[in-house]
Amino acid sequence: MKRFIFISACLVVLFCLPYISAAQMTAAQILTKVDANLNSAKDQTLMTTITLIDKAGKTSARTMSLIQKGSDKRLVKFLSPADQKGIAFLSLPNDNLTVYLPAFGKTRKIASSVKNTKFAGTDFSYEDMEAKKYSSKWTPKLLRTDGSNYVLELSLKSGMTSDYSKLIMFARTSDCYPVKIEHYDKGGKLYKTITASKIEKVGNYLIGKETVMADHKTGTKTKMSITSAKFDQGLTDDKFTEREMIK
Amino acid sequence: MKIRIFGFLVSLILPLLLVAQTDTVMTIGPNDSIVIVVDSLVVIEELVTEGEAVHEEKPVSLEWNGYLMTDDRIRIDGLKLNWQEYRFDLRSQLRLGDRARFYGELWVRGIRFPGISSASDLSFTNKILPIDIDIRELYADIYGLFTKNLDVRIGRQRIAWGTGDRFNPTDNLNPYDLEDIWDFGRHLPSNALQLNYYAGNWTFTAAGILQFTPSVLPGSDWTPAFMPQAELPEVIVDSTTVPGLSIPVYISPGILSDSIVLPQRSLKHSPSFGLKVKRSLGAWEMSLSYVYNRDPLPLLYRTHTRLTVDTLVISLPDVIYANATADVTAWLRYPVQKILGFDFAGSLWGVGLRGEAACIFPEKVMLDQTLHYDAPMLMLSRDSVLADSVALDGKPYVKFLLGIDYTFKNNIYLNFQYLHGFLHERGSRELNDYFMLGLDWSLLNSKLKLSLLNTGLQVGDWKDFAGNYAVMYMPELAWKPVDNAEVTLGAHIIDGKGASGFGRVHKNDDVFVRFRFNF
Repeated sequence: MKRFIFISACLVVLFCLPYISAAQMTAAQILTKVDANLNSAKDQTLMTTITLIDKAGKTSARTMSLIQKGSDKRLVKFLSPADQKGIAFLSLPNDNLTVYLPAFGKTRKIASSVKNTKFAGTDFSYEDMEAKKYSSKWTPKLLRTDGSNYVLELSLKSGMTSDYSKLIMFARTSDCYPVKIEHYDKGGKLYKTITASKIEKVGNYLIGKETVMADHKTGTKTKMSITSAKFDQGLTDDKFTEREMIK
Repeated sequence: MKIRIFGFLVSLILPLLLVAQTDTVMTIGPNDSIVIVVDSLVVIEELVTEGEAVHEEKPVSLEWNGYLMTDDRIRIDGLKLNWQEYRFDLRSQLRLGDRARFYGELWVRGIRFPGISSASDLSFTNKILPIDIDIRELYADIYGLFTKNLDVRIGRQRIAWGTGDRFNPTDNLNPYDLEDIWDFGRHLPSNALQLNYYAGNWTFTAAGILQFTPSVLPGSDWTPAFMPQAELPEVIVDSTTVPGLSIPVYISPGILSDSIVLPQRSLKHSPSFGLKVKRSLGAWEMSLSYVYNRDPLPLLYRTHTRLTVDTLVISLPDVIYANATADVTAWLRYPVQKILGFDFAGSLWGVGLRGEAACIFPEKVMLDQTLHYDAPMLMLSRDSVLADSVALDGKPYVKFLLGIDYTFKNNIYLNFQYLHGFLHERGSRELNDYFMLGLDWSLLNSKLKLSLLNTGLQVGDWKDFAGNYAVMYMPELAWKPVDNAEVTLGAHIIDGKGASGFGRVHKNDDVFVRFRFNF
């Protein structure tokens, strides 16, 4: 009988261990795991469809290919609509930004002030599109566990700059994948909300195949759907060059 | 014209045939080669030696796109339709994985007004509705030829150098296309071979063009802005100028004609080439270039004036003078020049900075002037050689550009450039200063763009600014009602004083409406 009770107790402990350890996770640990979910792939190749939804619900779509290595090398090429086809953005570390405009037939360095605007007319800012780790820019505080999500408040670290005063992040307790992030402006008002859905495992990585950014000030939304994703293809640095932009 | 269309179609079809043979190509031995014929140019491409690598390549793809554009301009002075262009742009590219690409761009345009001068012309559709077809580009890219770092482009192409926005003192390999002066920065393509070798942050470029092509000049109503004013003297009283007649001769212009002398189509006289080394340093890039070519704008180097005395007015005993007609023939040619260029672009504190400088070493050209004098009633007929003057002094001079740009949070894009030396200005004394401001405000998710402060200022003489300047104001409002479609309303307003180039064409103000649909 004692043996049965002991084994049963061990099984209960083993069964509950993940939940006990999850409950004991600190805000920093959760954010680290969020970053790991979002940035653990060495490289990624994505095909995406971006749908712009205006206040009245009218939509317009554009498609682009994106390759990324680590968190700071990215090449985006627009495939549609026709008036943007062929335009390419190369983003390298230290605000090294280059654009290729087919109409001019040459690449051009662009000033980092372009980050002041929205990315390609979407509701995403350049800052939103950055692949930098949240933990390197924001200090997390665990507000609560809300059903199946951790709710973190992220405040800006000193020395860092952002368009947002704070973020409220909802990350799944099961795997720390962020499903919603509220962005607050400098006045503390809710500015934008990004939600991720259709979260699936592709290879070794979790990916939200559909992401919607809602701008509460303008009433517009941008839906980004990933139609194809490949990870750890062994992309070399020479894929992130001006030579590749003009090909 | 038919040959051009045929050439374009052939160049598009041939790659298709090549694609159809792709499977066969894969079975050819490693050292075999295939021959691709594009617009009479022959490229020999070595096959990939490793079958595995072939399978990793991107798939073959054929893409078509282009746009339809209409551009109607009404000249404010007289409310005359002075420009109407309906352009169909068709682009096609065929990618053969990561190894090669074929690209062609064709313009089909209705740009000329009906050229009807007699009833018989009404029987020709092409005179009533003239159509022009231009092959803007047609080339083949071979990536990683001989070595993985070498890319080759061969065919009709635009070789765009320089970091400036539309104004590029170091962009000198393609001739200018000034057909539409308001589409500034447009160049003609050249039949050329271009090699690019990539080594880390360095890019080495070499380009060669065998055949000289002159620039397209703007219409006659823009000539005063680009050509120095040559005025005949109203009266000649110097007997050394008109030998044998030491009386005042009042001159009225007769027939003015010119002759363009193109360089010989030989390897010695016609080719041009350029070399460029580019280095990227983080968010900065800079390059050094050298170009040997002929100035694509013609230079006056010889004149012959035929002065015919029509009447002699004699009022004895004191006054005698003559009336004469001057027929002038001018010869123009394209002098050789060597250009050492430097450019840079980067960003500092969020502000985009760019600059270009071109040091031009021109050929020295003398202006040879001769005069033939006829006074039939006096039985005089003589030739006279006037003292030579210098058309181009051969001394090096520098044109340069500095520019900044910044994007503000409210989607306002500011672009400011300072240019010393416009494309047609030669010699350090002739270079004017230009300031260009662009301010674009994008609204409604970039569906509306207001560019109400686009201005340019030309300063001909800083010591006499008020009497020698030109201002250009080019407001625009662009609206995208749906994806791929854009309607633009705008105006081109010019004002100026003195001999400043653009001040002389201040009556060319217009308003325009432009529509563009991309597909």
